[in-house]
Amino acid sequence: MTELGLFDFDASGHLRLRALYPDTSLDEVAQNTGFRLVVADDLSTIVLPDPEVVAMIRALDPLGVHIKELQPRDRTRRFAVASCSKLGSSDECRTLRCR
Amino acid sequence: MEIADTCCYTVVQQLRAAAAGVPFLPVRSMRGTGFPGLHPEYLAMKCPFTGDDLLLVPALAPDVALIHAQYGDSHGNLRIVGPPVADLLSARASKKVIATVERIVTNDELQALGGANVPYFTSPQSPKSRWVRIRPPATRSTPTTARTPRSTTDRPRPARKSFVRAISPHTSSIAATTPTIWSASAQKRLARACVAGAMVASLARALRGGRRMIGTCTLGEAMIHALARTIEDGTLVFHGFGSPLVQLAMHVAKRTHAPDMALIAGATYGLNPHPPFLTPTSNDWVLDRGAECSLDIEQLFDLGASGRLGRMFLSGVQIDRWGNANVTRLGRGQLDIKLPGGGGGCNLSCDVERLTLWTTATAAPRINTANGVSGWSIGATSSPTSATVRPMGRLVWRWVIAAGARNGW
Repeated sequence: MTELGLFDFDASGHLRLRALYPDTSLDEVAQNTGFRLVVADDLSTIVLPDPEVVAMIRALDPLGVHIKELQPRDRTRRFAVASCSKLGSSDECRTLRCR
Repeated sequence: MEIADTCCYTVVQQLRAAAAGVPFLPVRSMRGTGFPGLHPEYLAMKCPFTGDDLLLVPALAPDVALIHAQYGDSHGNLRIVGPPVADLLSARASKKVIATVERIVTNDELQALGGANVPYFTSPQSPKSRWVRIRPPATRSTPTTARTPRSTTDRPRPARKSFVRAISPHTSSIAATTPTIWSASAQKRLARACVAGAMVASLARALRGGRRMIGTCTLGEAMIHALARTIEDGTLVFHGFGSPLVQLAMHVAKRTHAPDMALIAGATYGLNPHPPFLTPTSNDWVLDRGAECSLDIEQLFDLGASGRLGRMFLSGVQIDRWGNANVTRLGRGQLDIKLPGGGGGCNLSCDVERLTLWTTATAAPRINTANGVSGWSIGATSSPTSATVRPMGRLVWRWVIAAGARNGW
């Protein structure tokens, strides 16, 4: 799990890119990876939390301690979240870009 | 002074060997990592009973252990309230113990303060194992290099009693003026501020239409959610020091899809705590609030070594294509940058059933070392299938430079 994407390991034990964030691209991951990037056939977008989970995280961390673990330039990254029932499509829910 | 990176459970076994008076103990983990290469004193062995490949680590008896306790009696018995972490083990293994206490009480009062914290999934232990005896100060007639006798006939002597009395006013004044990391009053002020802040925030949310107004999440929240999704329900899960994203991910998992996970918090080793909020340091006791029990370092790592730890979260300044993580140093030959070290990750990466590797800084600027090489994966952890040191590319992360209390695990 990185700030650019989600990896797993393929059958040979090599890291394999499984998912991107709504605002990251294959090129960006490749440029920041020192080895040849292996990409899953079904590359997808990371599943974003429901608003209820976001509210839970904010209640658990009112001081924003976890924000310090992010690079300064990543602290302003935002992704649209909405309950899937409102949007009617889980895919749409996962891939909505924020402003 | 010689310094060499090592790993939690390895040191635990070395201290245990010293405490038990045996020359070595085996560890199963660390194989496949770079750590044995840093320690020529470790020996490999095939178990005569099972045929398992083991690593033998020699007994390690510190000359001095420095520990702190809330209470002590005039005999030198100590009562440590709260998570003892490695204090008991260190005291048992060391040749001499130097302890600070906040209050000196009678032995009866000390007994009344005692109680067993026995986790339901570990072997029962005597409550007395929480009691540690202070070694008397060496007299002038005693050679400083001589080991103090540890026989059961070594009863408290008048000299020891007077020693404790002599330091009593001093330790009391220290206790009165020296706050812990977060003093009780500071914690109360912080809690009040947080409650007030939360009330204002919830009021503001209500005025804006409640939760429907949460239309976006941050990168941190997305990562916390994704980390939480790697946790299976019903498993024993542990996070280490200084991992706010992982701490939050575990609490989110516990409150959503994994209510039956056993959550063990790093630093305090508390089981299923209910902290009111995340504190700036993972060593804060408020994080242990509501814990069903607290383990010590031996119990936690025994869980891993016996194959009962389901998942662990680890990071590294470099992670290579096979999942090896560099946790020790940057630079080839000449040391350029010292990294935080192995923590418990070297052992646990071998012992846990499943491992989540994570980082927030793959795209950070490169660290340029003196010889122009961005670093090598020396203290390789994680994937047991990859055993060798591997060169790395650009996966170098900046937070090592800003390393503080919250770095590493």
